[in-house]
Amino acid sequence: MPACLVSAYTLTCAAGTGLTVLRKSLRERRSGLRPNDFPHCSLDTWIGRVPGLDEIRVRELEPLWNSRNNALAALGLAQDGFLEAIRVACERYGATRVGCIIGTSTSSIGRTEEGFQDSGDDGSFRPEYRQEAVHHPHSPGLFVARECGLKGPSLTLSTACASSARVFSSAQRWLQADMADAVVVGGVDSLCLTVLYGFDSLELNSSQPCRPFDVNRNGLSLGEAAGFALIERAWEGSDSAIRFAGYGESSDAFHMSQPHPQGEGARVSMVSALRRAGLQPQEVDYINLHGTATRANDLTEALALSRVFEEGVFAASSKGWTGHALGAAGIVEAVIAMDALTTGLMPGTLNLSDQDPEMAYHICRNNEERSVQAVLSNSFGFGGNNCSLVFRSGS
Amino acid sequence: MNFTFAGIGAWGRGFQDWQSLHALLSGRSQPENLEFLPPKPASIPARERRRAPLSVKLAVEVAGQACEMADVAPSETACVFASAMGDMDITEYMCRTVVSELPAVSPTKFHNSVHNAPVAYWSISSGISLSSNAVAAGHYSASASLMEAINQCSVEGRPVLWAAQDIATPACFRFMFDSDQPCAFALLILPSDGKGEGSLSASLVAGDGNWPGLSGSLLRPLYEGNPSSRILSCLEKLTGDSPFTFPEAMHMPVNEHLDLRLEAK
Repeated sequence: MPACLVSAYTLTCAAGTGLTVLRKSLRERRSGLRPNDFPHCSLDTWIGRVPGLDEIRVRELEPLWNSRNNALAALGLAQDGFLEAIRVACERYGATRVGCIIGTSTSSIGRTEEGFQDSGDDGSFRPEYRQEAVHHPHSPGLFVARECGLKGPSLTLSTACASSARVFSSAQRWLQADMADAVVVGGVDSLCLTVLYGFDSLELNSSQPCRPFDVNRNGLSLGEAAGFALIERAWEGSDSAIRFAGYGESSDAFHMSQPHPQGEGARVSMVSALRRAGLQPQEVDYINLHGTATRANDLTEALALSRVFEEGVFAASSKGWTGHALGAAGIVEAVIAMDALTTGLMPGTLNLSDQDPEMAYHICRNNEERSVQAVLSNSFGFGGNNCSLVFRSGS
Repeated sequence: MNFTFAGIGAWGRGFQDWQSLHALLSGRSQPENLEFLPPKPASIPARERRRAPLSVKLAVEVAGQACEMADVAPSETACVFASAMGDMDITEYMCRTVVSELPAVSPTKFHNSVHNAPVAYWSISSGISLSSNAVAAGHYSASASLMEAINQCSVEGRPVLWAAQDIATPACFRFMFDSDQPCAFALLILPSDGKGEGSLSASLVAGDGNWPGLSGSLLRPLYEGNPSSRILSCLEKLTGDSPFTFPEAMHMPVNEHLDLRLEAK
């Protein structure tokens, strides 16, 4: 496929607000996870919570847009000069030629929970909660387009934990068919009671910080994040060195909440991404794994890896730093993967001490630093929804 | 972007397929039964079907109809499924439960709460291993998702199944979407070289965000309230049998600034 340029990117998650802090956390192996202190939730688990959102809600958001999720989006957009890059793109192309595709799983549902918590005797929302652009799936797409002044086509993708990986695939197709000259892609997902108690009902929350691929892993740590990238057609004179080179999308066609036991959908998604990028498996330097630390995900993902790659590729999960940001996991891991092309830092797997001997592929525990030319990032979601992305350095 | 519309699926109050919907749209018939009858899509095994929410059954039913009309195997299609609201019955259940004294939620309701549940049930029951997407765009969900489906079909050169459904809005959410009846629609989109019979083209042009009115009066209450039903503005202008065509160009807004323009080549 015709590669696109990633001309700007940013990430805010539990391991750091903005790239500078995030890079330091990754290098120093400092986790953003902490014992659950989410309001009105007593579950014995660890979470990756972004600090400061309540203050932003009060200080920066207009009442009609007030939600924890929008506060996280606003905080994320304000980092790393991202809004300035958008302003330049809108000036260059015109605002109707800059599109917006945002991934999320729960959108602003945290605000909907608050509406019910604070509802009147008849169970209906009080006036301050009747926010038309907040209580539905497209809330983050509307908010980001508004904050950035975008007037191009806009869409919210919600395919569970693969949501904000797929935004790159759609953006590439929009550019290829000339529906836009640039696309703001990203993901925003915030912690809320629905996901905390939802994953508890599936017995998937770990009582310790998550330990991807470890023999003693016992589930995931939920997190939250907002990350964004500006994608453009490759043009002469750009100083960005990062290319979005390929995507693979597939469906397991197996089960609503269990991955395919042989990792077939995951294998197909990785193979298609490599094919679109014109890469051989051995040319990949670093794979950022979905690596949630659930029993099932890690086993099947390692099996799928072994069916695509010879041993020796640096493969690791960064969820020990960030937690599982669900609908924002795709952008979290795409940014960590593509940032390795800039910094040369490939984060290992935090909290992994003894690799489960049943894993079919060797998972890297320690960080490594060297020249990185090609990376792949995996995202897999409920319903058997898979997406793999390839980013490359240079032209 | 070139493509053809090769199959249509439809379900709502007074219509159970394209034929009965077409009769209503053209004013040729009054609805025989104004009661809404939930679909029972045969592709979902009976045991699963009993537990599946209406949002899932609606999407799977119309998806199956569109593939059958186009004579395209479901396993050959990528999928773009849309819903403006998602399953608001489940959203209300989840939110009311987690803020109650006993916040334990049903695991089945939780996994059915994901926006991609309808496309996941469809892909599982039909054995589809290609891409399956689930999207939303508020009041522009029907048109923006159709734009996404046509674009994917055109760029990847493979059939794409588009489906949209929204159920009736629970009372507490009526201030956003005032929909009192469920409905679902599907279009099977095939790639086209821009020359053959039924070849259509799509483009984005300047717009003002306003939806065109619906000619036929029978379906206006549905059209005014249910965001997925906005696709009726496109369906009522289609003529012919598979592949379908437009006698003249038609526009649907995809946001406040742009229209999706569809026309025959």
